[in-house]
Amino acid sequence: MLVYTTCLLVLGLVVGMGWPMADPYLLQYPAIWPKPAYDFSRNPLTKQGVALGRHLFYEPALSRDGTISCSSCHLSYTAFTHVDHALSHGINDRIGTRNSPTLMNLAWSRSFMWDGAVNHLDMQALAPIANPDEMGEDISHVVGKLQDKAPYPGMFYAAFGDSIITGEHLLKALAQFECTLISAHAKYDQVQEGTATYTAQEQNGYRLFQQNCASCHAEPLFTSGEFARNGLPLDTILQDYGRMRISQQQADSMMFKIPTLRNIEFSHPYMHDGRFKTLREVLNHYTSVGTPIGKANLNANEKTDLIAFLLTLSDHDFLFNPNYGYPRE
Amino acid sequence: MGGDLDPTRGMYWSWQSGYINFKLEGYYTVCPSRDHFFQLHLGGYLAPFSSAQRIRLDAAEGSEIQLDLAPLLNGVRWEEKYSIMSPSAAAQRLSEILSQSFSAHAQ
Ligand code: HEC
Ligand code: HEC
Repeated sequence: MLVYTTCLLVLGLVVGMGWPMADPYLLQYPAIWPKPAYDFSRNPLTKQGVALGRHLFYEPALSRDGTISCSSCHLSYTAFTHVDHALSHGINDRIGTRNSPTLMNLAWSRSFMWDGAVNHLDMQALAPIANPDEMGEDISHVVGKLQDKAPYPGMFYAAFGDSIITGEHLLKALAQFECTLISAHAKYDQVQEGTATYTAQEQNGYRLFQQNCASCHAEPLFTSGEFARNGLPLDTILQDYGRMRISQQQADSMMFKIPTLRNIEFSHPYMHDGRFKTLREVLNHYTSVGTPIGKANLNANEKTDLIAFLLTLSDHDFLFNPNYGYPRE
Repeated sequence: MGGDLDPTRGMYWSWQSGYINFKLEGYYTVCPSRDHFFQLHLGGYLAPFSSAQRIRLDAAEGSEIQLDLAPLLNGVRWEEKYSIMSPSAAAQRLSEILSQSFSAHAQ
């Protein structure tokens, strides 16, 4: 059994200077985690910036017909995924081509979307705003709408020192809010800290996880951040070849970003196209088809144990964090 | 990404990251499309289709920088492709042509 003696310290992040009238926001995360990939010196987190980003995340004016906000597909109570939807739908009930992922620990990601189409968190929001199956809007039009809508000019001033709204400030505010979505209080984390213990079943599941899954879904973020082929056959209707669309390299065919498994209980249906409904179906894939590294060798009891471990990654503090929900004044 | 690089200025791709480094749209009689409309959006930062070009011009202060579009328009293979909207070999080839088309002229 692995015993972690290091105590989990909570680190405050030293932030660079933003608009000097705004109050610095202290990001907290466990000391044993790696450093975030996000460059905070270029977009220092402030309380006002995060508050604005949260408003924007729940703002349906970001969509063409004013019906869809980011939260329509990324619901805080389910770790910010579109629960129960294999493929997400946007304005006018248009159906997209991919399953909406959980949003958490984004400050540690170096690439975004299932195929890594987006290389920076600040630029990510442009994709859903412009996508005709999602919000179907034009960023310059959104900026115009917000300029005429209270409380936005005042909130932009408080956050960035300028009440003239720009695309840059809109995107940076959204990124600031998204950087605060940190999930680090699951039972797994408490066990690492030494404040909780696994049941025998969870303990065995953890062992099986480390043997079969951790090379890709690496601790403590439960993703190595890399792209991989996990053996899923091509869906002949959606024709989604993953990373190859971006790199145009044959070698990247069917490569997808390794998703985090934190809060995996809530992100069903699973995979980029939501093809599996349950964790058991996911495990059946890994034992029958397997990945290029090989098939996982798990009997029915071991699958149950592994699932018990995966459920220790659910973080109820994260799901019900009052700072993440719809902003009520 | 502020100022002219602000994504509201239409020079940033949305579905995939990266600035559009050069954009030319218009009507050209040799273009076989409907109304002879063409769109050239040149960009891309990932190998092998990186279209960024380093251009060095020796220019005296107050010089005027000129861009000659003729080599670009002659370089487009109109029968094959008149609408370039993503990083590709064609975008890379045209951006190389463009990088040779700048000149500095003293006033
Ligand atoms: C219509 C549903 C829908 C809406 C609206 C939507 N998203 Fe998404 N989101 C998705 C889907 C689907 C993906 C995965 C897309 C892909 O891989 O191509 C995604 C991916 C993301 C990612 C990448 C996560 C990762 O780990 O790679 C982020 C961040 C994100 N969305 C934030 C937002 C923000 C911010 C907004 C509002 C401006 C928004 N989304 C609006 C469905 C939606
Ligand atoms: C070779 C690397 C690799 C290994 C090993 C691996 N996975 Fe994955 N996993 C991936 C990739 C890549 C995806 C995304 C695939 C897609 O959607 O096309 C994924 C997706 C998942 C998902 C769906 C996540 C979601 O949000 O939809 C679950 C659950 C999962 N893996 C669990 C496991 C378990 C449990 C194991 C061990 C039995 C395991 N994985 C082993 C690479 C791997």
